[in-house]
Amino acid sequence: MMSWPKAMLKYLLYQKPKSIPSVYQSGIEDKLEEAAPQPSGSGGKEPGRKPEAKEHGKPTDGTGGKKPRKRVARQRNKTGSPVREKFVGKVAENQSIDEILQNKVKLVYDLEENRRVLAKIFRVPQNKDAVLRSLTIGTDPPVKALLVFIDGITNSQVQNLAVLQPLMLISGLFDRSMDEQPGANGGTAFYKDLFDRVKEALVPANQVSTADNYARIVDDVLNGNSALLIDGFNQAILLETKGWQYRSVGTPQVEAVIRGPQEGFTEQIRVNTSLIRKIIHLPSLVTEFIKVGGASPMQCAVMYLDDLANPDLVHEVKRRLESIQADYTQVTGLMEQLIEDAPFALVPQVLATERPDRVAANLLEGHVAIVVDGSPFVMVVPATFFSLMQSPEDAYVRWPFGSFARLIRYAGLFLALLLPAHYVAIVAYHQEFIPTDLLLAMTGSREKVPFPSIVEVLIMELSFELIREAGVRIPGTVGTTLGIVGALILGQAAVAANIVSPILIIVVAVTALGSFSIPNYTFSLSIRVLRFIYIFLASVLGLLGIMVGFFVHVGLMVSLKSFGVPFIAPAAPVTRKNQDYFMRGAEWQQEIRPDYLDPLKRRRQPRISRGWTGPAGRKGDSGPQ
Amino acid sequence: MNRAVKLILAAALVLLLSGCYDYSEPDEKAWVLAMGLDKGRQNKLTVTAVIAVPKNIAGGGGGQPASGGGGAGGNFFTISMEAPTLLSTLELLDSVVDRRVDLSHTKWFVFSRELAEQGIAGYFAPISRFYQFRRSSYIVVCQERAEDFLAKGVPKLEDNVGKYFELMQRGWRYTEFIPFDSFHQFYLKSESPGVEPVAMLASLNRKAPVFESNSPKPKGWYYAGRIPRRGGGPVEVMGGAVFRKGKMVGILNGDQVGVQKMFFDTFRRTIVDVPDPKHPGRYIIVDVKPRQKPEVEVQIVDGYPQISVDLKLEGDIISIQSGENYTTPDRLHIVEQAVERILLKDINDTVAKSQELETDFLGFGLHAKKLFRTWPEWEEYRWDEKYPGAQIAVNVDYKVRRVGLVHEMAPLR
Amino acid sequence: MTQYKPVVGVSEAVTLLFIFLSSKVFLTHVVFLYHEGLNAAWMIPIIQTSTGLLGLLLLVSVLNKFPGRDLVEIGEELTGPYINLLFALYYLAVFVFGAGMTLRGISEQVVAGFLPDTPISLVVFTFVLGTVVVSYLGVEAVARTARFLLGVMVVTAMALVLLTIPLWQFDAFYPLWGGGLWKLLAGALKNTGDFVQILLLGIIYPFLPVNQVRQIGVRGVIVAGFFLFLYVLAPLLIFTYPSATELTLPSFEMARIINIGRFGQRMEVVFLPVWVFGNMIFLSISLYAGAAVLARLCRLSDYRPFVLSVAVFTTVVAFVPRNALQAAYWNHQYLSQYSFIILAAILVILLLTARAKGKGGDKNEQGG
Repeated sequence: MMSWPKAMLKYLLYQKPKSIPSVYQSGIEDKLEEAAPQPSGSGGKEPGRKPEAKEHGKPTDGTGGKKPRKRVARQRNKTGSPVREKFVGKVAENQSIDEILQNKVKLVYDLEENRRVLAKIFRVPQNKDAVLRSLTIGTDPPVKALLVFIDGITNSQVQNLAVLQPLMLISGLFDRSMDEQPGANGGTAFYKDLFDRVKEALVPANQVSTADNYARIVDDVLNGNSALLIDGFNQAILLETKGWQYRSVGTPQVEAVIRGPQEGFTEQIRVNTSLIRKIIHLPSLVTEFIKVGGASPMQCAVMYLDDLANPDLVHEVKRRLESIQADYTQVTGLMEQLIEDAPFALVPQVLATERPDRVAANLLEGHVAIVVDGSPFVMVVPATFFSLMQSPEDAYVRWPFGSFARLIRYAGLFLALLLPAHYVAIVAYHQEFIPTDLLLAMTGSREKVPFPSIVEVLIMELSFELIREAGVRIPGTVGTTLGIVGALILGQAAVAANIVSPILIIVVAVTALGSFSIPNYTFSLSIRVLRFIYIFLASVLGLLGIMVGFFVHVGLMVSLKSFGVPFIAPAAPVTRKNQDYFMRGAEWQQEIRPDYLDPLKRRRQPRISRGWTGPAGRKGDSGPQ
Repeated sequence: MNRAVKLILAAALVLLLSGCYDYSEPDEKAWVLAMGLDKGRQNKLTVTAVIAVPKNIAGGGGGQPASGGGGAGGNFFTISMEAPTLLSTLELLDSVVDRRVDLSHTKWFVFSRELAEQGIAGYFAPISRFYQFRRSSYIVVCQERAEDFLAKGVPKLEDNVGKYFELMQRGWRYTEFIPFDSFHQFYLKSESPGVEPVAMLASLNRKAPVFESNSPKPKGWYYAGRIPRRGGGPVEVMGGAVFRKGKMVGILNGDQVGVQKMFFDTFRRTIVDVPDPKHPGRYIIVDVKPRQKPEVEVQIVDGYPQISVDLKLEGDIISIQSGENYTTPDRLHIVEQAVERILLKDINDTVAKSQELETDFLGFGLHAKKLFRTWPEWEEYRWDEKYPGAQIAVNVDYKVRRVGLVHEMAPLR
Repeated sequence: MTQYKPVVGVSEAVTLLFIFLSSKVFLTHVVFLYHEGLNAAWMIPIIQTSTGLLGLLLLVSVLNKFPGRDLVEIGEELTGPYINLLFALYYLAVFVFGAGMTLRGISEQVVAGFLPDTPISLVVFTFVLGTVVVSYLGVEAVARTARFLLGVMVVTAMALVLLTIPLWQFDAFYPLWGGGLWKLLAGALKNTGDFVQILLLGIIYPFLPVNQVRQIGVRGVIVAGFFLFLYVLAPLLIFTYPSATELTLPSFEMARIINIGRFGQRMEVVFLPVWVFGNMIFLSISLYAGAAVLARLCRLSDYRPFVLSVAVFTTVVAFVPRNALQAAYWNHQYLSQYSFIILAAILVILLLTARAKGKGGDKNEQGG
């Protein structure tokens, strides 16, 4: 173990460069570098350095490599915990089940043995959810079979009509007609064997597949499918019988718009993907399912347009998702934290949205969407500062109003982030800036206030945060009381009691309005936190503190990347862009896709997208006049 | 790397906690709205500070409505201190005022005429170095002692005496009587060869009658301290104090200040009473505005400058007392010529005054500069010495543009 | 195939260069030009810009012979490690001395105008802290920060000039030739060092888009020349010749004098961003460039260990002058007057050596 001063020195003074190819900094277009090993800037001056290929995200480096090793060692120490010793039998049983699943143990021919193993895995009979139903397939001769499913997440109607009924009742009927076929010999000519026949002809369920190991069966059964095991076969038929309760498609709760589609995602991944596909009718829209996480394998879909999205970006997204080992990742908020580039940065690095139209628009720009089962939010990567400040509404109204709305929103961002800090700085440090009349009025109204301005601001900001947090947590039925309490505390009472000066109420109110105008909830949270840092800086050094803080803030922000894309692109670094990153241009000006995404097709609409304006206007018109 | 950044930041924040050196609440400072300088009685100077009383101006804390101004004189108080210099008084004031005295909102620096005539270069020039002082404040010369002027000058309309000072000065936009020069221009003109400044002239109300008889006099003959009036606030501002090399050398009356402003293109408008050429004793009242910048041409003949000035003005007829119908296109020139005559008289008076005072406050030197190729040549010419011997010819061109709301007047019968 | 990606794009590079060249207009520096040029001092930046352009073309012609390498490496290749050491120390001196004097200057300005009771050490420390963080993040971060703040800075800087228009006195132009043509020319040539910061291009050359370096340099120098011109001219028009020489901080006085009605007075706080950001970007660039020179000199592959040491060095340099006045005078005497001639001499030596040894080629051949 290193002593902490040494460790600190190490951090302060020198760190091993993180596979940065040149001496100075990595490039913008990291993905190009993957191809060729880097001839570095200092030529042959770097002996012993491997020419590491630069990956998109955090490259693994020395420090990254050490930590997991430590963690493993700690886990090993814990194996001898008292709980484990007490329930040693139970632990051993669990381990044996895990081994069955991990080693992908194959099914056996004996139905009873399969049944025993599955019962053990599903903890039957204690576990009442798992159902192991025995049945007899009505062929000639009858065959024993076993249907495994989990009650509650299967559709019993489908099971009855499409599985049990044909197997038990209609199978014999079909049997006879088979026999009548010329040249048929016990039905084996058309079907390899009984198993094949059951699969092909006897189960009219819409999706059917086979499995030969317990792990696969368990996975599917847990996902709401049914598994049919037949005596004498070491394979199982997996039947699509999913059917569980979920919220129906409703209006978006967080990202409301006035003019625009009014549907939002639900918790069901299939519904979500279909909502997106409903908008983009393109064969190139690919939905790839990826299993993420360890203990709770779950479905996570990566959607992109195959002929648009940069393959490197898609690859990187899949690489990150596949590598995740975590317990519970059913919610985008959790997944987001596992795949973002800089976990310590305060800004969100993925764009979470509950609007299918927004996802579709982003996919058409070349972004990649990550749909997570169980969460009504879909992540769009990469996210930039400007995308976080946009609302779909900007594009749905005509462009002057969209641009105006954006201007207001940026003003709101500025106010939410810096207004209280500026208030402190100007009132406490730069009073000369205040017009004399206002200064004297403020001074007069402050005469009886016992606190310094900074304390006043902190009191009001904290109580506002309190009201906001309480507003989110408060049960809906008593929600109306909150407004009254908040208005009383923040408004009149504080002023009447001479605790704060009246002008501060305006400052806090405007700050609050500003922070509500930020369309992205996560981003708004980060602004709420950063605001306090700026208030602190302002109270220490006045405007200079704010400026220096802002400089560092910008410095950190511009060196941030989201999936290899600079966070402030396309403003810094400057890349080619549409009239759509800061202000919203007219729709016919949206000619190219964002350059920082490096899409496979750059142009999204021709130079003249309104064909009717030209002389050769209408479609089918041949030549002018 | 993130951790390194954070460590540095954390260390920085801890260190910054020792900051807050300049933190001060606005209610911990005493806001000086004007400073006055007199010749001292017990020391070199008597320095007067006008300090605002915010609680009376704001009408008390706690969001109660303003209580009607808080009584006369309650909105500010003055302190006069005997001190060797202006700025050392700042510290001296802190032994009387509980709040730290701050000059950053000071609007006026008032010098008594007595002090100004002895020379104030040593007082105003050095304060431009001081960070609380602003070049956008104004230099005012008052006829009496500045301490009395400031203490008694309680405005009638304003609670905030600072606003009063500012608005009073901003009168330069709509009257010709108030000079334009802020400290900035005052200072520049004092330092530049070839031009001299004019400061605002102010005074308390004069109790004794100014004039003996009620014979007709142009309104522009007045200047602060010599305005015949009753009622109104105690302070009056009119006319200017001419300085040369930091010393006050003369007084300009209202009209002369207007002429000075015409030459600097800071003249905005004035109302002129023109004696009716056809009806003696009656007046035509016109509004005069500049039409173009004054055209000044300077030639140097035999070592002395010959200056010709073309002043182009325009304006409206506001009123014709006699009812004579001048407002037809072919008769307007009668009014125009009458206006030109009376303006020319004012201008010639002013020019003569400037030559008499040997002070080029009309800024002819700024135009003469163009004749020289390099700065040393210009300085060598010694404009100040040559100016009194200059020949100056002024030509005024006035055009009536509008005749008001009456088209052609039918005479009273 | 190009060896280097355009890490610093054209727009960012131009921004970096012109801020690095022109941030000095916010400090005392401009006043010295008034002493040289009297009331015609506004002509000096025009002459300076043209000499700066000449120097730039010289620099670019040296750099383009060796694509993908910076000035220190080129020097080593051409003149060997020992002579090059002298050259590199000169580069380092330009960056560190410039940064030190600027650090002192801006801190003195803040103390003089905004935080009169705060000890200067705290202000200096604050500036160093902010700039170290950003320059530690690399040239990319510095360039992008500069580019991101460019809008704010240009708008504020232009507003500062535009809001003073009511105070402009055009008779300040006359007598037209100030102290005389020859004195003007001599003054301009004496102060060519205002453009010595084009040296930056030599240090970040490997990260610039190939084939566009000359264009970047020319644009940067011209924009810088424009701002230098503007900020020499504006105080001259506002304060006119003899008074303008008295100002310690012309741009600060400009901000203080703005008066657009009763509400719009005492606005210097509004213009704090342009002073603080401009000089902080200057400092970040200096720290980075100094660290990069040291890294090249020590043949280390990473500049980062040196950022902190250069920062410490800069801080020490900043505290060497005994007072604000001395800092301003030193900056003028040592950086603005002679440094450019040394740079030009070094470049000429490099160019001649390259020709004599027959090394280096056209960028097109080498770059292919």
